[in-house]
Amino acid sequence: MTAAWRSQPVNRNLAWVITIIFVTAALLFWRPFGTDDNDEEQQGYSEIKPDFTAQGLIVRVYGVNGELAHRIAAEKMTHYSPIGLTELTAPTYIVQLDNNGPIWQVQAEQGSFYADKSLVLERNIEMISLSESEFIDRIETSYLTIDTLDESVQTDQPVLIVGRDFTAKGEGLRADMRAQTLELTRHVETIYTGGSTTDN
Amino acid sequence: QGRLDFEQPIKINAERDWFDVANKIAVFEDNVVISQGSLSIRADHLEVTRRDDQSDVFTASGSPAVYEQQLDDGSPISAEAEIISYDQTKQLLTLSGNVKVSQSNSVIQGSEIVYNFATQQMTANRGDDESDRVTTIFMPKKKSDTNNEPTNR
Repeated sequence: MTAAWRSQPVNRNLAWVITIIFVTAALLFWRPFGTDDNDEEQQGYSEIKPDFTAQGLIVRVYGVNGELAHRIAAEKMTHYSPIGLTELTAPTYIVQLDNNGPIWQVQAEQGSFYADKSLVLERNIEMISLSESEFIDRIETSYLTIDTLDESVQTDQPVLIVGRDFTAKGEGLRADMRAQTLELTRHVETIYTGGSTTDN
Repeated sequence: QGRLDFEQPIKINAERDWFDVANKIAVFEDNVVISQGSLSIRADHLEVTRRDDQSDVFTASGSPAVYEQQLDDGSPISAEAEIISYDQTKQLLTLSGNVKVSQSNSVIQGSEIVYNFATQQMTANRGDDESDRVTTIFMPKKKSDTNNEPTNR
């Protein structure tokens, strides 16, 4: 009798412990006391509303002497000031470094212009020289970062450079638009068809 | 002299390549190989300069730079020099600096050798130094080469 009697309080304590654990787990799992924000907010996602969306907008940036330095146009621009981002659809970026220097035009399907003045372009990018007798006609790649402040261009993707009667293929490109130099990070092959009559 | 070669495109392989857009120069470095049909030039450094008339001059340098090509009759010609310059439009090959040209059984050495593909003329110039000479060595044909004499009696 005594064993049974002494064991009853132990069972009761055990039952209490299990109950408390169950209730705590339930609270943690369902969180009934949670605030009424929806789930997304709790996981840190909160949709940022654009400040404005513009169609056919052109942004012109002038140099210290009033000359047009850069021009960014796009079919559609969506600006998010909290994160300093402007998303561009079908952007066209034009840069002329000095009044009679070469003019480069860069087009892409998609672009993002950041507060630090870097422009990231994606998909079907064509960088075209608008100057007449230029050495390089165009550059093609799939991803390009343009630092519009120090006027440098960079990618680590495959690149095709098309010049008058030559083409150069490589991977990765660094271009200094001010010094007018282009370097392929890894050169694959260059073909000159200048003197020859047969195209490659 | 490899005339068909001039109708081919010129292919350039190299590890590094950069363009000086303003001065219209393309620079290739490290294991440079230029090939055009049977013509090939191997060098350490190559500059392709675009002239105002839109033609290109290829200037290869190496230690030495090596040129090889197959003549129309199929026989090989090879040359080595510190600098090999190839003017595509004028079809001139200019070799300068410790030049040595080997063709069939002859070897020509000099300070500068200019080969005109169009006229098929080769001009060898000695250096400015009085002691410099142009040396031409014609190797006599080996006896076994002559057809009319039996080699062993």
